Amino acid sequence: MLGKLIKHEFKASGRIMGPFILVCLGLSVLAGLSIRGMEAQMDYGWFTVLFGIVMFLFVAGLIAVCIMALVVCIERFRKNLLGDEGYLMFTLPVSVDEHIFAKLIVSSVWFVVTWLVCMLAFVLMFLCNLDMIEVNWSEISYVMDQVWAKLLDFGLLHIIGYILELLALIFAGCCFTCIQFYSAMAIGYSFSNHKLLLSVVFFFVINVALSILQPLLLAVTGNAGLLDFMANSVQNISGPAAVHLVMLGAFLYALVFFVILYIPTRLLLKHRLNLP
Amino acid sequence: MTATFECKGLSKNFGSTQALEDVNISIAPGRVVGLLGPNGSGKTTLIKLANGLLTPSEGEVLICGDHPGVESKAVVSYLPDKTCMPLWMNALQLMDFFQDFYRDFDRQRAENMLRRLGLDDRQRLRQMSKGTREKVQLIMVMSRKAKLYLLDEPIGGVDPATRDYILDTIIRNYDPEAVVIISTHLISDVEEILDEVLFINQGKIRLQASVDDIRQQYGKSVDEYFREVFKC
Repeated sequence: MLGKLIKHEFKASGRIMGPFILVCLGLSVLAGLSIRGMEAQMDYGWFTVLFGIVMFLFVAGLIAVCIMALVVCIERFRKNLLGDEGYLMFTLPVSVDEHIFAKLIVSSVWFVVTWLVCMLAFVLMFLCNLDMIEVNWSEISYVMDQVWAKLLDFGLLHIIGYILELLALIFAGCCFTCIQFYSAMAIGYSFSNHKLLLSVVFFFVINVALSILQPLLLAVTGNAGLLDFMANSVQNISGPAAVHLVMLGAFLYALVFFVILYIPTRLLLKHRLNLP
Repeated sequence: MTATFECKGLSKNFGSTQALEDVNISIAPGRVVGLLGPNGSGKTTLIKLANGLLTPSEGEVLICGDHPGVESKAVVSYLPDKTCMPLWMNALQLMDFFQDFYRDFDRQRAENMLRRLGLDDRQRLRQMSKGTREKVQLIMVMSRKAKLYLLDEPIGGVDPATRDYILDTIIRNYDPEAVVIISTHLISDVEEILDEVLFINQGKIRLQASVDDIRQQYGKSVDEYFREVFKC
């Protein structure tokens, strides 16, 4: 059922994110072409104004698509699970965990897609002016070969491991960001009145609590000798393995705080659901 | 035979307010039951508890022997007292949604009902009138071959013609082996289709009886008897 929830979640969020992404990419091509026009135009005049407008829209588009990813993450949870649609969603033969994970996974994917779109937008803008830029391909090729050779020195398995660990870390980071909003809304919406206001208040409360808990956790693990153990391990083991250890430590750190916020979110949605 | 719907010592408190108090009900398969009571009597709370949307303070609810959960939700078809379908969806998307999540969803039946309604299945719910939205929602709910239909105020706030359409749709489409629980205070409109009634007031079940028994025993229609019991 998780797969089906994810499918429908993508449909629902894609109809909002899709047009934003397309507009953003379209604006990047326009921005690229306007740069090209500026380069070719001898008499700037009105073209400068047009160039300014296009570049402004391009930057605004990039900001808008990033903001929309966050808005979709919050609004899909709020409207679909805590609003009137909750009557439909919470009577599906699906567990609360599946509901939360469907939202987490889809929102995380949109965050990653948004970053990729922002990068792609700059690449497109660059490609529109490729013939006007002097690129030393042989130098780039040389640098790439050097980088690849260095990577192979680490070992191919390590490289694959790094990529997987990095993806896991990005996913955990996105999930941790989402669960901060979800837990705040789950608490705020369990009250009868001022649900939205209370959600905002609890979001700040959670963030303050986390900023106290995070150094506390480091202090506790430090006292327990875990940090010393890790530091010694990093010194004693090989360079590539030490990177794995650091990545694993960062992942576990994100996971611990994710679980701390996931448990109350789950319990509130399961036992204290307060639909309008 | 296992009761399709059962409540044992069921109570629900919201803070200091007692919404339901020691409710004991058992309904066998194949019955159309009216959950009748004035506004604020606990009808919606009882239905929400049966759907797992609320957790009991005491006692338990059983659907075909199971507590509300993933298994029970697969056999319960629920119509809330408000539009809960995503307004950006059209009827085709709604059917896809129901077909994906409910094994007992009969798409052919839904398509036939939508066709009879003369509805453009590509029109979004947002663009429909409130009455049409309610009809579409009812069609989705009644297109399932569920074991328990929980219909919360299905005829509240609609015109008499729509009311007839809704009741007709319920009667034509429910599985004869299923239990249909209709919560309403518009008793005269639903009386004809009921086998059994549950009178509820101030969170307590005041009466569980068959419609025939009420007519024979008190010589009154359910509506008349209800008015007598709940006279202010």
